Amino acid sequence: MKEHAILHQLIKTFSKSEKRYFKLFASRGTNNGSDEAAIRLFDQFDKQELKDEQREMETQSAAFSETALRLNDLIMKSLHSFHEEKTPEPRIRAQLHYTELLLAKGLEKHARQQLKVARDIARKHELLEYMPAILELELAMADKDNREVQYKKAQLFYDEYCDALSRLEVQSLYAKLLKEVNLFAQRTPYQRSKKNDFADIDTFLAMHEVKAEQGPSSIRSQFFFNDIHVVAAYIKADYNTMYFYSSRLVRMAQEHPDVLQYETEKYVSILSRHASASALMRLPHELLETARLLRAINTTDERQKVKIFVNAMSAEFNTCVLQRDPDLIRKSLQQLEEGYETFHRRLDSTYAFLLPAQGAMWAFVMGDMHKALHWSEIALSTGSMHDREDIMLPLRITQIQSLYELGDFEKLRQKTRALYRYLMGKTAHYRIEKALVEHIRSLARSTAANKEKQFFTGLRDSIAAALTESPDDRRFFGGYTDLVAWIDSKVLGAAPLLPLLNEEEDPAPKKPARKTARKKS
Amino acid sequence: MKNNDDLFQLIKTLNKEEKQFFRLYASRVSTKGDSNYVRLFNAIDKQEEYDEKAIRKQFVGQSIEKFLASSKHELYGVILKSLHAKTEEESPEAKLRMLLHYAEVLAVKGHEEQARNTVNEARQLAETHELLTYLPEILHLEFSYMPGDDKEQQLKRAGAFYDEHQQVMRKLENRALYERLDKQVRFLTQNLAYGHSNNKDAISSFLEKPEIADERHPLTVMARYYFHHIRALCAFNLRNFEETYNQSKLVFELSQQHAPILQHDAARYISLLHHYSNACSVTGRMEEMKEVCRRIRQVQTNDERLKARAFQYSTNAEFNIYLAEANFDAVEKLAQRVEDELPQYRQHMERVFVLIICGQTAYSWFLLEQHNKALKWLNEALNLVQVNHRDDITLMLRLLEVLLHFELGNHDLVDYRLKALIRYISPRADRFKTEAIFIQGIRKITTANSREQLHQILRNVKAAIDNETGGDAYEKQMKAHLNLNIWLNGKLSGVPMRELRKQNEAETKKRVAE
Repeated sequence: MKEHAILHQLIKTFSKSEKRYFKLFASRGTNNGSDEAAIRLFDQFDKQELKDEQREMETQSAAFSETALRLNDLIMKSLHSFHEEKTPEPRIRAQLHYTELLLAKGLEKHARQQLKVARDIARKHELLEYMPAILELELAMADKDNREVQYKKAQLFYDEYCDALSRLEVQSLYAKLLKEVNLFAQRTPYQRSKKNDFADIDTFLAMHEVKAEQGPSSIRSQFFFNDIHVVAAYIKADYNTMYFYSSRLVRMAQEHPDVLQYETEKYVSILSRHASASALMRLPHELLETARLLRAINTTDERQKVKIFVNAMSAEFNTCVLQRDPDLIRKSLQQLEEGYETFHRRLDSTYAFLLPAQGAMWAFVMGDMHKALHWSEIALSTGSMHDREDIMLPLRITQIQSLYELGDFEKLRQKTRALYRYLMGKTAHYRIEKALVEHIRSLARSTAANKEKQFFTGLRDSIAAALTESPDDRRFFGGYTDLVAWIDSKVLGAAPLLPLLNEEEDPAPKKPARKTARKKS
Repeated sequence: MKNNDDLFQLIKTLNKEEKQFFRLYASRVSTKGDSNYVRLFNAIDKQEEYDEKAIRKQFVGQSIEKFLASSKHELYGVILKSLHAKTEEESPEAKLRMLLHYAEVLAVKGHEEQARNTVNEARQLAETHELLTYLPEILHLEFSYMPGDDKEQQLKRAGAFYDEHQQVMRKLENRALYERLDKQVRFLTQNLAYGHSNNKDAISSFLEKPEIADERHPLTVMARYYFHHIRALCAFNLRNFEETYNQSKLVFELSQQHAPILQHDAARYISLLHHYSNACSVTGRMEEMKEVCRRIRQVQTNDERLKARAFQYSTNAEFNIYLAEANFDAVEKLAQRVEDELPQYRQHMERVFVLIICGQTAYSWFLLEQHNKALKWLNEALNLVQVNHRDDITLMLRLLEVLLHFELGNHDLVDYRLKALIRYISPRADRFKTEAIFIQGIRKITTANSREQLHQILRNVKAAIDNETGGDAYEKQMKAHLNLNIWLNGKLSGVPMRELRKQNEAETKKRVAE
């Protein structure tokens, strides 16, 4: 990406207060003209005054490059100054610099006070990475003590230093293990449960560090440890264990907010995992509460805002699956409408497909066929999501249903053919898929006057049988709409709106496993 | 009046440039332009002594007066921030910390690739200057901003992250070990250094530790620096001066080979040059010592303490060189320079060096026969709180005081001071044998009624000293310090001390040339 494009993107992420601060910062920085030119350029970028051609021409000039360079420097400095006090890490770094500056001025008492602030912040947020720098400055300040005191301080310094290093080492080990287990999870998504081949993850779980509860020596390490087990349990589809560890993580986050909540990324990850576990354990209230906690997170981090949006949306849609509450569905669809507009450019390919796909299915359920078509078009335009066949087929069916409801038979035929092609392209089929292939084929061949009725009747029976007899089919296709009820409505001529919501009582939520802490090995 | 007010102290340490920058910076913080910070700052800056009542009076009825305590607290913070902003790119540590925040900001804004580039820049800085303490944080950020597309690559990177993290931990631990040993060896050697103890066993067994004995043990440049520095210190205390020189030279060479690591921290660089200069001094390598002094004076720093440290080390070393070479023109110039510059640095100098330099200046004026100036500097030194473990300095100052009063004809004071000196040296007579003989010998010096009687007393003292020390060894040792033999010879021959020193030096050079 060209430098000016990066600059432009960066300016576009500025909040109002950041822009205001930048103007103040740049206007009072120096008195020469270059800053004014930089401010002008900032305004142009901000207002998108620079058209592509103009930008192309301007970027040729040396003056533009120079101003852009100066603007970049000013932007970074103003952002640095604006945000420095807002998070613990830069605050510690600033405190370390204050300490060095005061020491350089011979103000040792002052320097000690500033260093103590740095140490307090590092301790509060368990930022072990900064302990070596803090301890070395403390030792350097011991120079004025008598040598016996220096001797003792040196011993204390070394003991604390080694302790911090060993805890950091353990932390890095668990960070690495978490990364590895996350990669295991990504390697064979959705297929693994069919194969039930867990040899690699079992070997991983048998490792001493992963088994031993006393291994992690800091809160962060404990976070990594529990998170590793959440992911491993998810891979093995052991949802009881997954829920056990994710609940433990949420509890830890509440007990140590200064360590696990201040770092938004970790907290979002904890809540997202717990939302997944709650969904898999069919615990709607916990899901909704987790979604609420996610939406309550206040952050300026654009990446985290996206994560919060997708995870909260997923939790809310999953609650819709469990509760079938029309108010909740309406609210969730509204949230999707608002959030998708803001975040759709930054969504990763999975969520760029999943969220509109879910939106399409729920909009159909709510009888908003136009919205259902709108969301399904968006979802299908994101490209093929081969690994999410659990969503792909229901989405295509929803599209067909919507077109049927709207009476757009021309498009309906096109989409039915497309569905047929899609199903024929697959190497393995669920029973419902097989039924669909057969019934679409016979529908095409049929010349009977009531061929549609025959099609629906036959399809209904096949799907009902598949859902009853095949757990895999039930798992993949039983989530969003009650296809059987919809077909019944077509055969009987009933209005297919809210009654289509699956009103059958949800099976009682499984009781979460009450695991006791594993025996210390 | 409260001159120990923190804010006042801080403001008084700011130079013109820093004050100017603060005023600009404070106006950035406030949209109102001439902010209260600047007004309060200016008011305090104008004061010679901190006077809170005057400040309250100046801002009566205004918010500054109503909330003076909190205004001062805030102003203190803004001054620190302005200093921080002004100097952030001046030291590698500060710049590195700034880059880490830039990376965090860029990542938060969704520019992970730029964040990765910035972390990479920080890593290069850390590696160039061996700023290992920041590597865990750098590795952590690299790990967080790892590109997430190729999973196999990610797996490899996770493994590489852990391996490097472990290596960094090993290096940090290794360095901390040497930092600890460096502090601890000072305690072990302090009693030996100035003759308070002869028990060298502690140092010998310290030298047998594998981390001190084995050259392969230190894992980083910094650890190697500590390793040789510790060995130099031990050798010095075992009176193995040649080994002291060898180890100090190794440290010096290390600092030249790895300038970004061992020279960017001016405190460390000055300290290692000082130790090297001492090693040259004890082995008589005066030309090398002059070169080291030149390097100490060349060190660039804004740190007031370090400026003072460079001054104390270089001045002390130069006095030693010029006095040993009997270069009295240079001695006079240096003594004059001390008169001019000492007040400027004194606040930040180590107490023992203030004492030594005042003593050296007094001794220089004494040799130059400017006795009143010598007395002024001697009183300056004697009025300071003495340093307990440096009773060699105290003794030298008190001896000089006796000789000076004798030269000035203050015989009453000579008697009085001699009695006190005898009491002072009695418990230390074993360690200061020559001085004890000298003091005992001249205790009746003021009773001499004729030149002949005086000469007889002095001849007896000289004979007793020669008998005890063997003459030549003592001469060699006392080249740069208060030389009692020269004083005795001068009195006996009627030739000024400095002339005798010049003759001695010329003879030594001739002997060496032959």
